[in-house]
Amino acid sequence: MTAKTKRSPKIICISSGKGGVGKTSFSVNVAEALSQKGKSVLLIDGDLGLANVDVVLGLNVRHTIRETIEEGRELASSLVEINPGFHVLPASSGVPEMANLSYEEQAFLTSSLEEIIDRFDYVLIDTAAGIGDSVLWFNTWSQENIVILTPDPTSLTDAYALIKVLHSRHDRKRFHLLINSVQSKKEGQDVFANMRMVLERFLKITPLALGTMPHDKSVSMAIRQQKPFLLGAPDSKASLEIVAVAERIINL
Amino acid sequence: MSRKTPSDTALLYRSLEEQASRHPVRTIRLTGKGAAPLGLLLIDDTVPEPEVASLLAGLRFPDQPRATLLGDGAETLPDLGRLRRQLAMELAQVRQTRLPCALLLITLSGGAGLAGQAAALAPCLHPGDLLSGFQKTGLALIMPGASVGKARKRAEEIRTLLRTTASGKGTSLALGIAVCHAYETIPPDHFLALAEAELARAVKMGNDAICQSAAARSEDSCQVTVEERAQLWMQPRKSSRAAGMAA
Repeated sequence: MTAKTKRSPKIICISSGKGGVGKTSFSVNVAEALSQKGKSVLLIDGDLGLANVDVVLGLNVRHTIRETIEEGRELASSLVEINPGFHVLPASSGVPEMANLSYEEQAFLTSSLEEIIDRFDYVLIDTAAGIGDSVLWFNTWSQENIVILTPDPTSLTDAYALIKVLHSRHDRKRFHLLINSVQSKKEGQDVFANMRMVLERFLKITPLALGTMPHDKSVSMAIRQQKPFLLGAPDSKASLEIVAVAERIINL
Repeated sequence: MSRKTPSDTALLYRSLEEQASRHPVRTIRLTGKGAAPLGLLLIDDTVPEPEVASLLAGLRFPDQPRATLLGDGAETLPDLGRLRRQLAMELAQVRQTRLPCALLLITLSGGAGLAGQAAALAPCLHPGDLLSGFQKTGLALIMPGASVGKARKRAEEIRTLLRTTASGKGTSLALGIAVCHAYETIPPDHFLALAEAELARAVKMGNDAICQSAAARSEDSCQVTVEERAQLWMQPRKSSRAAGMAA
């Protein structure tokens, strides 16, 4: 850990509703991009029962958030340094109990997190899919909410449902939409425009456009190699876009 | 949980209270004028009541004894005004801590007076509860942290206890519960009205009924409607390739 001074980090939650739309890949790469811009970033694997961040980064982790919840182990001891500006807080995989934390466990995790996050500029949370308690809780704990969706009707519906729950029950109003796996810039813009129209009409909220990520073969290649595509294919379309998205996040 | 209050002492106190409830200790919140507690006292259960009172007096928190210390006379029960103020504080805590809060209204006609009822309830009270008089003949019990299930269970315990202590001909008991969850925004008066409606329902049902507010949780409020779906799918789209950025 290079930075020990206390900061006021920006906490950003990354969710999608539907699974498999690219949350983890986006989270890992945008964290890498932010660190390349000199920011200190903590990426929390918010999929507490079926973690993936460690898999995408090829990490063989010894300790996870689970040990903090179950054994009271210090959360800081589970931090994994990817590079001096990029740390990961891994979660466990295949532990159903972790996917359904009680109120008391959530409160304990919150206070534990608040002890470690003030040394970072950005805290990104890669949540689980769905609208479970932990997803809603991480989203309400965050200052900014990013929702990732693809042009598929299933993804559109689930992303809308997530936004509706967060807005109706948790009074969240500010959503940044990232349209992933688009065949063209125009397709991404159309998807965003349609989603904005539905959100404005039915929920009376106007989403913000964070960007559109192109479908890019280098992405799937990087996932198989277990490293960020920003490092594996820095000149790819996806990498260029993720750098632009990181810049927009800095300007939020 | 809001980042506007990074050091959430209320949350810490709730957690401590929760842990303390599993041990033979009495938990007493020391609250000031603001919503957040100023401190928390843990006192061994074996310490006699007068000593506790003396200790609190020494700390100069005269109005602090909460539900667990009530029961020595109707004049010590907080009034409706304080109940409303306390409800406002607890509902603010619900939003901050994400823990639910339940309000239980009880009427017992034909039995002991308000003071007697309050005294009878003492064994059922938990740390952090606030017991108040309600409309001269009833009692209101705020149960911070209680979900629908927990509130219902506690109401059943209270009903059993009151049936035992107020047994006799002509006694009738009714209990109404309202629960506020973190995803709801309910003003204190509305919360009170919800519980009152449930109490009225319980009175009407008779047979020492317990009614709880189902209206407080409208499960279908977030259902994606047919109209919304139609709008979302308005334009046929090419299916994206699963290989994209999926992880």
